[in-house]
Amino acid sequence: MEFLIQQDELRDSARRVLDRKASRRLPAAQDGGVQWSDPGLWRTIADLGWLGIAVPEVMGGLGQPFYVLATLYQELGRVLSAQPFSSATIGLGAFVRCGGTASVLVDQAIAGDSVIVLTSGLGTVGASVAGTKTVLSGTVRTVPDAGIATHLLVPIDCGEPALALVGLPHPGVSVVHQSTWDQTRQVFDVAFADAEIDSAAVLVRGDAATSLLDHAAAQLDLALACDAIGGSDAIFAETLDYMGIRQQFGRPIASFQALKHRCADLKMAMEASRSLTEAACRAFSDDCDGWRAAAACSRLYAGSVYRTVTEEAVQFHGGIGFTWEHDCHLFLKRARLSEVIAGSSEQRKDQVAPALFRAAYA
Amino acid sequence: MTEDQARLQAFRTEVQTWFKDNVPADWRAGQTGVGTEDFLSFQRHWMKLLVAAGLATPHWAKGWPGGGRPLDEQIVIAEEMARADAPRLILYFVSLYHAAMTLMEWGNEAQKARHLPAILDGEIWCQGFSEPNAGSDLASLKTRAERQGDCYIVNGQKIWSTVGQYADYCLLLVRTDTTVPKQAGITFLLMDMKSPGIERRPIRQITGDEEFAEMFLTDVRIPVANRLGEENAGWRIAQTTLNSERGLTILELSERLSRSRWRLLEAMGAQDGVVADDQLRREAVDVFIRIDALRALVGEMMAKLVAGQEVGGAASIVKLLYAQVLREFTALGLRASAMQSQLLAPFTLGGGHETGNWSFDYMNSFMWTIAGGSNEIQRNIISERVLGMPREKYA
Repeated sequence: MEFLIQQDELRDSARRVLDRKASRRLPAAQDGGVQWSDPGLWRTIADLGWLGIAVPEVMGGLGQPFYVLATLYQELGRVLSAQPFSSATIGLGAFVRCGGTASVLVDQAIAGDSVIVLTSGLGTVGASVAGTKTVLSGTVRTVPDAGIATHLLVPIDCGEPALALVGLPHPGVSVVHQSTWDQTRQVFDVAFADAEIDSAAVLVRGDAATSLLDHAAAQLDLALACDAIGGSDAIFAETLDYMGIRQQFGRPIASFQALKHRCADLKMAMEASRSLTEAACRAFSDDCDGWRAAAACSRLYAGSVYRTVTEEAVQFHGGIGFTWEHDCHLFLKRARLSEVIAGSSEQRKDQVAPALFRAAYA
Repeated sequence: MTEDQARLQAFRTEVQTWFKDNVPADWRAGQTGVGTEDFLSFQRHWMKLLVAAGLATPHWAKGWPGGGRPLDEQIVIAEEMARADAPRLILYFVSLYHAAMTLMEWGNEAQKARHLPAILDGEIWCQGFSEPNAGSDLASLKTRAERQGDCYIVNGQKIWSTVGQYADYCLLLVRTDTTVPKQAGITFLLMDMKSPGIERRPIRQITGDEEFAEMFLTDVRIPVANRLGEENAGWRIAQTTLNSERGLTILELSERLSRSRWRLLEAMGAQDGVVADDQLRREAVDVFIRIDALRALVGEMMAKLVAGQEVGGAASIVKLLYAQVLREFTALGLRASAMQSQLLAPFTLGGGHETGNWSFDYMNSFMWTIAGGSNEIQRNIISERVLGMPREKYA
């Protein structure tokens, strides 16, 4: 890498681009529900090179370490962005790691003209080989941003784990929007009904596929952890502002010790989860031992802190926080959805326990 | 590897080797269920070894034995002490940190010459700051000192003096002016604990251990020569005392907590690292994650200190977090070990906060939520100084 983007400079420039509260809610869904919340902003994001920021330079990206990309996840989380940025960067990253033969697609994805979405989620897709064709069947539920994808990168089970690339639209593949409480993002059920693809589109198999999926899962965990940190920070700052203005009993409610102490606890938890997540992002960037567990732990902690911060934000805003009109609930609902993408917190704790417990005896 | 990294790596190897060769393998067993005399003689022995190796005084000024180590090397020592599960030097902690740092910054040549070498030889110091009615609100302390010729005559009561029952000397805060705002009428004295008029009693804690003392001072004569700094300038000097640890304690304790995680799994009856109970397993994961977060945050704070930057409210955040995580850890161990931990068992002196005696460790964790600025005081500091929320009205 010839140059390293400074995180604070990137953060500042991201804030200038993203600072529009108006884009916090997706417009009401039209037929089929697939939305681009703000195509102009997507164009800007692509023009700034953000989509390829962590893609190696030889592949046309900016070749930055992952933690630079993580800064953007945080900033997009701060504004409750509806942009499919994390899905697109995770999908592109996974595709590049597949061997990246189709560099036209990489170019298009970096330019924002194609969006590759990895359909990790709830459910598996089976595959059987028929001549030079492979036939996919099965449903993956609640995949974020799949409806915006031009290409799906599909984890499949063909006796061994593998990954297949499917361009959309494709016969036998349906992508159906599912309405969610979270008004800031979109999820889709992706169904394969005996969808026939070229076997050449099965890009990796076996251990290579498993390791690639691990890597992508860690990236998703870190993206959601960063999103949670950005969101917590934003709604907490707004809540503190409100508490300084809102007067009851002749004084700002921010002066009540009962509330101050709860805010102090939130600040402590936010600092702790931020620090943990930043360390995990570095570990992931540098391929340090334990990066997979560190990523999962970051998401667990930052996610639970986001939940608590957004619950308290509603509570501290009082009646206004309970209204549809106010933005508090947007953060709360985003936090609740983030915690259960691709599995529950309990499942994640069970998955991470062996690695954490082994380390405890080290 | 940079030059700094190479220097630290070489130093770490050296320190690691020393601890490997010198930490008595069976010290925990040897200090479990023992009386005061065994505790004192073991602490004396460990102090001598550490002083001789230069590992007790890395934070002292250059020129003193072991002194002049940069902060990053002090950090290495703290980390390696935790890694080696070395005994904690609690009998001499106030001497080596609070007393020594305060004397080095504020003492005159005679005071330094009298006390610093003595501390290296094992002079035990305690702190006479808190009073029954001056805990969180320390500056409201009422122990009076009246000037009489070249002596102060001191009357009052001090409490929560760590190792006060064994101390040779005391860092004493007294009120010398009642007519000015409370912080402006405090003087800092060095009190010889052999002076007539001092009655001290150990305080038995909820653990059954006695690490603190209370002191009753009746017409105790302290020479003016034993005053640190000017009369009524004691509050500022006390800040040096209170800040003398520079994050090293919380660093060492976080590392010790992290290295004690296996004890929790044992309490849960883990077989080959597998905890069968879903609830306990998931709660252990939660606590382990918070331990890692604590370490990450402490690491950030230490990096700032090494770089010479201000840490501000971060110290309060880290202290509150440590206190909470320690409580969660010990409470979970207590729950997991169920009735077994309700049966009285001997505890380990100087064994730190994770001894595997879960009732003891759990009870002991309240020390951290109360002492050194209670959780509530830390929350005031965080909300006011970090978050900028309106200040409480203080008298």
